[in-house]
Amino acid sequence: MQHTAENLLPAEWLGQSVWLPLELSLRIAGLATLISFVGAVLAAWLLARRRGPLPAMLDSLCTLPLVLPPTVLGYYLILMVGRRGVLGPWLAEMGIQLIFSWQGAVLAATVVVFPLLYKSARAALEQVDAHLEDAARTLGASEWRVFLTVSLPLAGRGILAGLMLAFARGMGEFGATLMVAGNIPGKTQTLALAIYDAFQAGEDIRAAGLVLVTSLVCIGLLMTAELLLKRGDSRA
Amino acid sequence: MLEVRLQKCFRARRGRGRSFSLDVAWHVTAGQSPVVLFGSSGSGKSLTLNCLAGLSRPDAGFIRLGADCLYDGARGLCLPARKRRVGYMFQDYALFPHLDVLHNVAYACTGLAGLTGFVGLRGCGRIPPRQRVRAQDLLARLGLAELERAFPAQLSGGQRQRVALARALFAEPHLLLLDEPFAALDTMLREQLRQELLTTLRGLSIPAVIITHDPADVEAFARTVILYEQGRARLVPDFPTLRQSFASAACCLRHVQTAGEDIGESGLVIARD
Repeated sequence: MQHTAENLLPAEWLGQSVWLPLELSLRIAGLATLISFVGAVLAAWLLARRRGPLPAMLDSLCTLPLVLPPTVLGYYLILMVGRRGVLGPWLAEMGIQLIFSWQGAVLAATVVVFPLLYKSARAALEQVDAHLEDAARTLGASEWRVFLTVSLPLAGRGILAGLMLAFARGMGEFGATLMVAGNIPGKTQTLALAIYDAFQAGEDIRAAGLVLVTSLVCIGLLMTAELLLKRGDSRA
Repeated sequence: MLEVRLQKCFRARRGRGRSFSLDVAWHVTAGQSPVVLFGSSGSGKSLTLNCLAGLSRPDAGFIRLGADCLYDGARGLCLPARKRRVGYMFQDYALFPHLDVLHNVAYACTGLAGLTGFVGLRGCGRIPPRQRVRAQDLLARLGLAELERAFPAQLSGGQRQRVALARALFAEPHLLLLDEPFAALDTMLREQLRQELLTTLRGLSIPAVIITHDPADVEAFARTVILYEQGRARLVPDFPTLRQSFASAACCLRHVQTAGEDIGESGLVIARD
């Protein structure tokens, strides 16, 4: 049944055509950002201030998703986790289905979002005064402790900015999600997909409503980020 | 007591940077501290200090401190910085800006306290009670008792220096390294703080190595002077005695520098005009 404004009560309409995609977008972007965060910060820590061919190669690999079109990424992901993909049989045995599921959308968003977090974390970590890390070492701190108690807190603002950027990008993710998870209303249809869907179907009211909601959420995010960063500023 | 022989080579890379080689050997005994490494910038003083602290790895040589061997190129032994128990006061003091004075000083024992800075609870990490008392004692001794809750950005240059010294001493080092301790301070403050630092150093039972290019620092601190020039070093034998035949430490150092290789192992410089 079509969710048109004509045959539904306003509350139902709001629930089905706005709340579902919004909740899905927030969930997918949030989880993807969280998963990427751990990996990206660790990768940034391992590769920061390293020179040589191997670190340069790994750096390129970590940045690649930023350069590749999302559809290409989606294609690669299907090659990896699709039913006939490299990991497909193994995943099927474990009872995990990523293709055409919201978990698959999380995977797609994680990969898309990773370079944004990695780049900002790496830049922030490299800006930490190396003397401070050396000072911690001479005071008996292990590399792990230097990272947790000196590098990470001092790079915190840069990493926070990266988190916001990644979350926003995750909210707007379209191409890779469409390839991997499809466009199933109520299951994998995120805000970005729902807007496209509504627009294509000529449901102008729904499209406009979704655009408005997306805009408000994004403005709210930006303002939160600004506030958090300002607060950090005044304390420094 | 402190025996050092270091070789390290930096080659210019694709026309960028300059090639530099450090090749120094010196040793000082217990009574000869504080040791001052004197020389212009780029002569290898800081590199020597970094090698002593374990922040740079030499190509060859050895570092022996008392009965401990910190580095031995021949045996492939190189203790990491955290295991050397070498206190290092950096030129810019390198205080942790996200921790208050007390947590800076007690950093050597606070576990993951610094992480609280990331979640916005600055300086709330737990310090074991006994260590807290020890840190507070140390701060009181250096006249910083009222400042334990202050953050580095709120401190004056002189206070920062004292906090940096307290932080290094809190870890109970076996050797203290001071990199240009007064470079970050204005001239008026220097004279006063030299006396202060001298008093503190005299109360310590560990050797101290100080880097400087200011003859006034040599005047104030040196029991032993090691001259650095383009990656080479030579010990000025019996500096305090030699100093007495000159109007100032600056004159004395200039003389020793121009006398060059005439300073032999024997210990006496032949004063020639």
